[in-house]
Amino acid sequence: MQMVEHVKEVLTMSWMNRLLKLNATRTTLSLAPQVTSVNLPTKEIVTFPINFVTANQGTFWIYFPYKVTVNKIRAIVTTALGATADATITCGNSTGASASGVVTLAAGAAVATAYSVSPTTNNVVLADGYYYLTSSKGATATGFCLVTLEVTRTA
Amino acid sequence: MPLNEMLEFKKDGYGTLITAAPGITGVSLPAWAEVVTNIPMSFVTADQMQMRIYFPFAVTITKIRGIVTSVVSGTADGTITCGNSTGASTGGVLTITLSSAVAAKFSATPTTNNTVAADSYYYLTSLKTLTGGLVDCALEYTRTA
Repeated sequence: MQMVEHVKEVLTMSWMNRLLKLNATRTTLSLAPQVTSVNLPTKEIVTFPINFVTANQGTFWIYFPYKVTVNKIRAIVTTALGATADATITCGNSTGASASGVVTLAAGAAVATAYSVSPTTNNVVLADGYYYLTSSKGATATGFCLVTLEVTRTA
Repeated sequence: MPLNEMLEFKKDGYGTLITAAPGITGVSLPAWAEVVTNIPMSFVTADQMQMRIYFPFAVTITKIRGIVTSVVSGTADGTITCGNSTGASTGGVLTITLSSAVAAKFSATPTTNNTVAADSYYYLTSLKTLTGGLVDCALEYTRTA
């Protein structure tokens, strides 16, 4: 059994060595020419506009075709918010809301005002799963913002 | 050199983590272009602004594109001036012709101040003297780290 495992390992190494190469000084690792893509853990960003007009408030699901962890949620005001009540964007995955996943935009926030939060739970999204953003604003329900999700692709 | 001398394999919370072995000081991967779409910019006077798009990784912005989504008013062209935290990019101004119709397309190719360090930003500043018009912008970039 041990021999079989050893042979398997040697074969795997032999095959993978064709995909990677070292430079002459053996300090830089490169992909072989036949490799056209790589799937490595990597960060990405996704942008999504949110409208706080009453009729346009809601829950918006952003689907990912691969597994990710949502690291940060940024929002920047693109149309000034109505003056009377704060606006919120509550975020989470299919399990529930994320701890530290609520962006609170101050009542009357001016254009270009920026916010960010870093969710710590319910921030892992499985392949073909979603992360949601629920917009809410009470009185003087006007204003727009652009949300950016910073994610790390994990599979 | 065998693979297991080039790379170290460790288990982490998500699976196997592959790390360059000691002595490997750089990893060269093929650069591929990516795009951030859906950056809505407005020429309505009250909504003209400097939009900042943050990147959690280092990039070089290679192209800026804009498509009109609400007709641009007359009298004066609109501009979207782009740059990084150092300053405006040469070749980084989208000039949106006055009275442009919906679906009119524009692009610019920045050549300076177009590199963004990890956790820094690239900005887009909208400006138009006579109010009116919306443009959906896209940034094309290449990851550099």
